[in-house]
Amino acid sequence: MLSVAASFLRDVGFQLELTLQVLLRLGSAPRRRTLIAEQLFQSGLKVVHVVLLVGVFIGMIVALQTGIELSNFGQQDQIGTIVALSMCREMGPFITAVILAATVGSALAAEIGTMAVSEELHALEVMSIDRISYLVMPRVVGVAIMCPLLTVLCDTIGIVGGGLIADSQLNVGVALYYDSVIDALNDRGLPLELPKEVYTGLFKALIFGVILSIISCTAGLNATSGAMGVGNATRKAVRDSIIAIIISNYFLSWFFFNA
Amino acid sequence: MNRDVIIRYQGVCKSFGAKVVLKDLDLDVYRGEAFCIMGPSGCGKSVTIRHIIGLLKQDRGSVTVEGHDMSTISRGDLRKLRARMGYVFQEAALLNSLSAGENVALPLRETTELSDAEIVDKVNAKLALVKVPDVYHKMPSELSGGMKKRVGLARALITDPEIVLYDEPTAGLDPEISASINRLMRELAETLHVTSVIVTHHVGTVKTVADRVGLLDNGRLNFVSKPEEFIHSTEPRLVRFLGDKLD
Repeated sequence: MLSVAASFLRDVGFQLELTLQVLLRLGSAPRRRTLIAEQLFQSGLKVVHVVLLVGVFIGMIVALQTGIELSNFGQQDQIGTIVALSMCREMGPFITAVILAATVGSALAAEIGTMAVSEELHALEVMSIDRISYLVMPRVVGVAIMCPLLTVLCDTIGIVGGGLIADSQLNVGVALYYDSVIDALNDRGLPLELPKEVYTGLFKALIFGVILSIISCTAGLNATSGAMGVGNATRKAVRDSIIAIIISNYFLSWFFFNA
Repeated sequence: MNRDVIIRYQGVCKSFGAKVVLKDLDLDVYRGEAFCIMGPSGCGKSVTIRHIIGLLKQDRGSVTVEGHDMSTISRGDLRKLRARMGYVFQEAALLNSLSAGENVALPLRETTELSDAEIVDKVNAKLALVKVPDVYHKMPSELSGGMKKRVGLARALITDPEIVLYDEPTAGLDPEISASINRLMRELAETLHVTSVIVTHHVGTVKTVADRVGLLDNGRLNFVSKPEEFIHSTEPRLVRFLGDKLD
């Protein structure tokens, strides 16, 4: 038990230090633009179809589950509001982050873990190449940028999915559904006339992107013992990322909506 | 040979958990010489040379390289010192995401302000020097073990280092390729006048490359001598170790 706690604290300490090291190296981002662009491709375009597929079904599920209950009270015309706000506030960023943790996070941990066990990291070190600037920072920046962008796509496609259900199964017309979506996503007091839910959702996505990429890079950097070590690093990256996303999601929600 | 000491181990101890690997190790390596470290598997040969480039720190004693104490050296000085060293890894340790040429170019791209054309010229020259001139655009997965070693050697030499550390440079290679790598190391030592520290358990490497050789055993370097004396020694421990390797 004590060794588990010690290992957990060591990991958290390493992750905090790595985050700080990445922040200190953001100045070198322009020099690393090629590596960052590659990461944007890896963590964005390569998973966009998964985000779209999952997003549309999440929107459909939210619409169906809440729509059935609302229709009991004759309130199914509010379905657009509920789908739009729940996608932007919670489901979009959370689902996108979990997809990225499972796809990109695992790939990051496996890639860096393989480099660790095949001495490529040592090779970088003896060549005086800063592995945080060369390996970690571009990956963190890439995922941190793509997570909010993919969240916008997930939110949008989720709302479309909800509209399909509203129209086909809840007898809410498309026009009424989209009117209530637009009403819900309109706040004249904020930039672009979008509501707080959209901005907090995107901020959460940014934080989730940083968290999952830092956790995945940490797992990879600390991988040992050959192929089994890489497997363990990958499993640990996905598991820890999802747990951290859920816990940080609670605290961010509390901070933005309850504090 | 110039007797200027470039690398000095004094009473170096290193343990991993309960396993004692180095125990009061003393060694002087002179500028321009090729020193081979032999020893049975797992005796700490790689651990020994990793102290020279700062990949490991000793528990006790001191390792000095060009007068710098490696346990107290600043990050900046370590970076400068590493720029004057090359390290050839046992499995080459090429970055799999880069082509062979880009692997060799990487230290120049990261640590110098040379133009692309200058870098490509230098890389091609080094690839030619290690006798793999046509692999620039090949990925590491497309190279044989011997070619990987040569590309790893080209990468180690790209910054024109004064010290080259070789970790089992001929391990896992067939005798013909091993012999060609040995000849290459000898040529490099003679033409570029680099100081070489070579970890090996191949007598062929010792015969071809070494100016001096020692046996790492029980955490200490023993029987340090010239290759001929070492190979023909009648010391029972050495005879036992070299036994089948001389056949």
